[in-house]
Amino acid sequence: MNASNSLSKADLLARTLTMLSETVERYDLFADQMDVVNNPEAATLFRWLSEKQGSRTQVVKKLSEGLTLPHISPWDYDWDDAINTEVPGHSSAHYMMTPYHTLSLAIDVEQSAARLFSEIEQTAQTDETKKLAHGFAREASEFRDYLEHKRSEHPLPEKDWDEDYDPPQLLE
Amino acid sequence: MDTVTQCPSLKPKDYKSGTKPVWCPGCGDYSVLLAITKAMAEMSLSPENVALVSGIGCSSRLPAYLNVYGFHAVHGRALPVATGLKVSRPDLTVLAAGGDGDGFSIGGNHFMHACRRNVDMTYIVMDNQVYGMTKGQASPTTDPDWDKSKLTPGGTKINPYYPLVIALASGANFIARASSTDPNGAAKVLVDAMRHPGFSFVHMLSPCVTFRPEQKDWKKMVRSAPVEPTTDPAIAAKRLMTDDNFFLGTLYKGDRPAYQPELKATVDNISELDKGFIL
Repeated sequence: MNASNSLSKADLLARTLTMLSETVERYDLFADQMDVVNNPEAATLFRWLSEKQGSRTQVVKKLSEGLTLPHISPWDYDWDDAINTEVPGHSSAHYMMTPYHTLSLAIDVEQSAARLFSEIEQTAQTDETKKLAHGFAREASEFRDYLEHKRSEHPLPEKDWDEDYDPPQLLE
Repeated sequence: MDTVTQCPSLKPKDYKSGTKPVWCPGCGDYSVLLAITKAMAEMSLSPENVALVSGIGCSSRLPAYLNVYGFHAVHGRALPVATGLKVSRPDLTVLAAGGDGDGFSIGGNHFMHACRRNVDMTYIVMDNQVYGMTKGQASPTTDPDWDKSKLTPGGTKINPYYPLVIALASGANFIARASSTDPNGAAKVLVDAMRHPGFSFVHMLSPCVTFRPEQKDWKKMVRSAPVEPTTDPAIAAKRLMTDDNFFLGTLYKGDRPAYQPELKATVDNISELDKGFIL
């Protein structure tokens, strides 16, 4: 999502809701993928992340009550693998990813979101939008800090963590 | 497309079937699935008025994951099935989908003639330059020096197939490229493709993270084409012949009328139908 200096409160809420909803769906999808490849540690973490983002989505929905939120077409925002990571890209997942990687991915998401909301706060034209963006930025930063603490409980992955001794490639 | 029935309240996830995809984590096809659902939601299509026909391969699993009519056809034969469906049910929004092997090798002949016939439908080819489902063999779009398969030691040494050039030469009415690394941009291309009359071909770059892990770098290589879509085939030909395979966007928009044969009256009585089979 691009920071824009003309965002109204409704615009900001609409974009934030879209972003959070997509993130929840993406974490759910990743959890399902990890179930399929028998990586229960990563699956459990992704489900936990989805619940956390789901709670934040509910808060933003509550803030949006009584407002008419504008429709946002997918191409009106540009979070994707190459540019932003407010929503984790599909290619971020790996079937051998460890809890460390899973939390690192989520930290990137929060870092990117915090940066974006700070930019919006700085360029916002109204106090209402500024205050809201400030709150979202703080929330993302706090969650990032919590995730960093949580990640520190997990060992650093080995250098060759993605070395598969039973690879899917046809070798014979 | 003027036969669209609108269904304004649906969100992208409403177009998903609930069946969990079994693609590898990191596969580009997840993004393509998302882009298709976003495009359908944006066009407010009613699921019962949409059909997606696929061939065989990883990407051809798509119909199972969508909440629209679907048909998982024979290898390389998505296009003839989709063509038959569209000409007999012109009210439907018809999409065909598959991979580069399915579409350009096994179904290569159908691809050319579907472009030539110009029936109003959209064909999405998820190109990862490899046969993934059969564990990593060179496909028609594989670079000649790709040597990771034991079946082609030292690489194929054969020029790759240029699907966009073939599509233009064969008469496709809409030619675009999108990338799974940008599902939102891909959704826009798909909406444009579905709205454009005639045969629309969308070349969708979709990395195979298992057998072509180096394709993860595609996200750094793709970029928007610095040109507007042209209606001039000569300009399009030059554009596509000098293309490096990473320009995204709509590259050609033709104005040929879509092919739609006149439909015969429906047979009300089964015995009337039987008469046609009497020897």
